[in-house]
Amino acid sequence: MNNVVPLTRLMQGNEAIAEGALAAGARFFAGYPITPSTEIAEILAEKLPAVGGKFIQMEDEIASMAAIIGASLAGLKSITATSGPGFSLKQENLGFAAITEVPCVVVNVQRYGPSTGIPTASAQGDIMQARWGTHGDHPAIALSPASVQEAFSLTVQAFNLAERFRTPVILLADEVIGHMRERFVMPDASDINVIDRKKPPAGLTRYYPYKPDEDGVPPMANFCEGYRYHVTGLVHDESGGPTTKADQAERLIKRLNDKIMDHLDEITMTESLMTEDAEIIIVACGAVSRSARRAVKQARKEGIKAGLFRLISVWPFPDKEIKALSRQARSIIVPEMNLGQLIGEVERVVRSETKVSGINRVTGEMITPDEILNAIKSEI
Amino acid sequence: MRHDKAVSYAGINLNVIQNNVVKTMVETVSAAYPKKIVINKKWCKGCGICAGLCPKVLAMSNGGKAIVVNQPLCTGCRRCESHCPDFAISLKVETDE
Repeated sequence: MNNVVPLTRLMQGNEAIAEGALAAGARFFAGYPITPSTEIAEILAEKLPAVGGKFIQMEDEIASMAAIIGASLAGLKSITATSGPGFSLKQENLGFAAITEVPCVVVNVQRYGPSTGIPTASAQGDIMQARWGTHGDHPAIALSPASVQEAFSLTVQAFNLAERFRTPVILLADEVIGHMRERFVMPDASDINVIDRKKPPAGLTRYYPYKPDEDGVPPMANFCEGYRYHVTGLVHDESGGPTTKADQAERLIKRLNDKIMDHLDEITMTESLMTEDAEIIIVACGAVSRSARRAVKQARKEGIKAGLFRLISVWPFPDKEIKALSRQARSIIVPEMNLGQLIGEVERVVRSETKVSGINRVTGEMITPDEILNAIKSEI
Repeated sequence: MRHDKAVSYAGINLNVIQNNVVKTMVETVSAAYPKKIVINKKWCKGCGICAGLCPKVLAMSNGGKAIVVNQPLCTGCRRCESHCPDFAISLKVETDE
């Protein structure tokens, strides 16, 4: 009998992101090398042409973002990868992708910042930037993997959300996840769910590129497939032409926001570990959640009712879920490798329902399970 | 193959198009929705700003006013409309409403 053994091997997080992109159908990468994301570019430089895709090393991260927007308008699923300094450079074009509703995936493997920072050290300092880095009112979707396996699956999910909602999606990884190596199992192709953008039917006499369907998302015609239309970062009406009319501007900006916020059931992803009866709840994401997991398990062994609520989608922030937890727990602890970015969101939602405190490490090193365990114990 | 002389295809004046790629694009892709550039001859003072911004679609007539020479090539960007000092040129877009 033939036994099909699934591909199982030690894989690096960045490699898993590259493989996830390929599995999702990405066929265009434009980027600029930057530690600790460079492996994504290196691997896709080799693998994309092999599957008929295109890889371009651009002159900088601004051009990279512009290139992936162009490629997506031409019909290719496109991706770029960078770290903090490059993410800063991309902000203006991220806003452009948001208002022109161009699907694309932007990987930010966070490193210690600000500025050049420590290229090889980990941090979670870009959480707020992922939400508000670019100017103006815009929604944001950011996913945070906590394992190599998840780096693969969340990259696929990032593409799916980008295509589903016609929006840029940020994969907010960190240097620990990007550079670590772990056991990875390649899912069977039939187990990988891939979503493609909604397209208009051919042969329409009228195609309005920004006229939404009932779900708030306009079908997207790729360039050179039969419809010529204008794409601009200026506020535009349903035809895509610029407008300054008050009612049309409001309609566009609110639709862009509602497009995401009305579909949280399709976007929000969280993981709960032993939270059902937890009195002390850790809220964490990314590499830090790995330490939190160990701390919570250890706490339980010592009879403490601790639980972990892990954010997989960091933006949109899971208001409803955090609010519910705050009514149950008597203390919420938010460990982050920054001086406090997630905690502001937790406090905003929790208000005075329960105590909220943080563990903040900016040494470039991981927050250890013991640090979190000690914080849990001090809440008893 | 270069097109150095005026060639007409499906009503599109290819005079200004110089290479095959653009020709193919224009041949296979048509405007997504009906639109029409309207020029108010009384208000147009022939300053040439609109034609300067969009030489493919607009030109100056012998009488010194702006005229539309290639409506199908118009992408609806409204640069002509927003730059005219006298509000003499505008884009009319047919919507479903």
